[in-house]
Amino acid sequence: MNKKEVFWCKSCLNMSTRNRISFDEKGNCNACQWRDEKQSMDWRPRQKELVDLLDKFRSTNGNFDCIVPVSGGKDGSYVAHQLKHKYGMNPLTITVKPALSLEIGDQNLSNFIQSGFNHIHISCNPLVLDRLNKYGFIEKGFPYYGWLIAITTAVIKMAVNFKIPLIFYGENGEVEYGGCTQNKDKGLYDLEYMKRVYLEGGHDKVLDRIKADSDISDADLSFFQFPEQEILAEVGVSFTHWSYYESWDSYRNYVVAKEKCGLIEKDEGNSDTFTNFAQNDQALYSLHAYLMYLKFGFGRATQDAGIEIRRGAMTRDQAINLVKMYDNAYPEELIETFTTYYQMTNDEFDAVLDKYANKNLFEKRGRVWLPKFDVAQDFSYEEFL
Amino acid sequence: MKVVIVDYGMGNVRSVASALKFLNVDSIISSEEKDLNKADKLILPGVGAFGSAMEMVKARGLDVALCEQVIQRKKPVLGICLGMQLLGVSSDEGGGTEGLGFVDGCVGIFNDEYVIIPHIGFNQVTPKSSSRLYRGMGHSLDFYFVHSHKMDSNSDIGQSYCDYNGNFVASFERDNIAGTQFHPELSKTNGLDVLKNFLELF
Repeated sequence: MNKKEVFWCKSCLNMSTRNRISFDEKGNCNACQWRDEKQSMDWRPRQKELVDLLDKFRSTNGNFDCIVPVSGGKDGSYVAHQLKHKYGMNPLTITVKPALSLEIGDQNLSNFIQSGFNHIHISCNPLVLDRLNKYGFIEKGFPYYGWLIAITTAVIKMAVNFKIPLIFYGENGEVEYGGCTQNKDKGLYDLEYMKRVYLEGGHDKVLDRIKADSDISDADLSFFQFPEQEILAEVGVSFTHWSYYESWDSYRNYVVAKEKCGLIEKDEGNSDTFTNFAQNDQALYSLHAYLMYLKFGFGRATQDAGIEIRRGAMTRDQAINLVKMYDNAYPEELIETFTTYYQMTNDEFDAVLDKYANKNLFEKRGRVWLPKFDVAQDFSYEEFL
Repeated sequence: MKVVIVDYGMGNVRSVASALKFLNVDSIISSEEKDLNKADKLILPGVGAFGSAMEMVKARGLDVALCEQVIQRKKPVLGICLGMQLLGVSSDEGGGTEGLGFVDGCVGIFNDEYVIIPHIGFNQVTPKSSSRLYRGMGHSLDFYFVHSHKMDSNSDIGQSYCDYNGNFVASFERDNIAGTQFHPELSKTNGLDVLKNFLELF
């Protein structure tokens, strides 16, 4: 038996159950510490690092010199715009089409490309993507794991094929929202870090499962496999986050993307977390958030409220109210969409949720898992090993 | 133009400063009387509880300083969210607290059991037709709200309304005094337009 303490960040509501998160002696999580640190730090050395990095890789022969994965949203658009227009780079922008996309972002993506970017739209074989998503859901409790693999592997394949040495992601979520701080003071990182943090390991396990299916060949999996180490080394692909070089400010990203990249303002009346579960780029995100809740005790409301608290728009008490109300919301209205997509019965689908529900945190009443804890009330339990 | 964002230790001063930067307006964040003295325009932001906010305001002598700048010297002030509420007469939050009393408005909690608190997200404001804050903008505008308490007023304080299971004061504007319950600094283009109007028309 092992006594486990469960607690919440004293500033936001990040939970100690969150993967890779750390807390200081005052009980503030690493995202809240970073919020304070980045406001007072001198960004000039990092700006210089960026300029040096770009000088090193900037193409002189018309080749692409960096890749920016984009969705048409504000963040990727901002990064691509800055690289192209402020720093004179030649970025190739890439989008991997998700399953069950809700098409909200389609117009924005089209506008972004129209504003003057080279872009590749990757559509992985949907039959394979869907099955990988299903196996990821079953084996790892990740409802769109196939897509998660592809946005890593297919993008890297493009880097190798076009011999592009640098891939720019937007923010480092681990640092900005809570998680691994290992790369906080490091600009570039390697493939092993990507595999460990972004795919949370287990990539091979899910691929092995699909390979065992007789109707799937290696060729079908091309977009989902990492290139050979030697080929990767030959191009020397490096990964980096924009948020390392410049203080990450999603509002600034929005303003620039709107002015320069054709980002449209939606009618925002219903489209945020707290009022509508269905609205997002992909329907599977709701399931992802619900599974996160069952595994760790916090869902999308906790995450979004944390962002609001850190940008000074919400108090912790207001956040507690919202989290109590929304995190435990079973995505009832989408269950049929999910079971149809995975081709599962309701019982099979529920069995997966049951498998991942953390029994130390939840107990099942009827069809639904209910928390044994109160939000923001620290507690401990005896873990049976 | 010198814009001072009044800092009494609660809330969103930095996001306000960064929104002003998009309008190419430099601002300083301060609670010093000498800075308030030199200011052309004041912005009073705020997130949190009314009672503790008033304590912080008084502890810094800002109740007196703001009264001098805003009431006597007629300097334009824009209160945002809790900052707007502080410009009112009182709040029933925590058993009742007096506000700065610059406009006739009282603050109370959303007390309908069917209403989710806080009121959060984008919601529509219907601008009063003679409004300066919304000049040149449309008839029904989205702004970003996060609040558990609302202001009501029986007087004409130039209020525009928003509906959240009933109307509440989304903004007011009377002479040199204005306030928005929503966060203009988090309300995308509409918010920037309101800030711009405040800076240019007040």
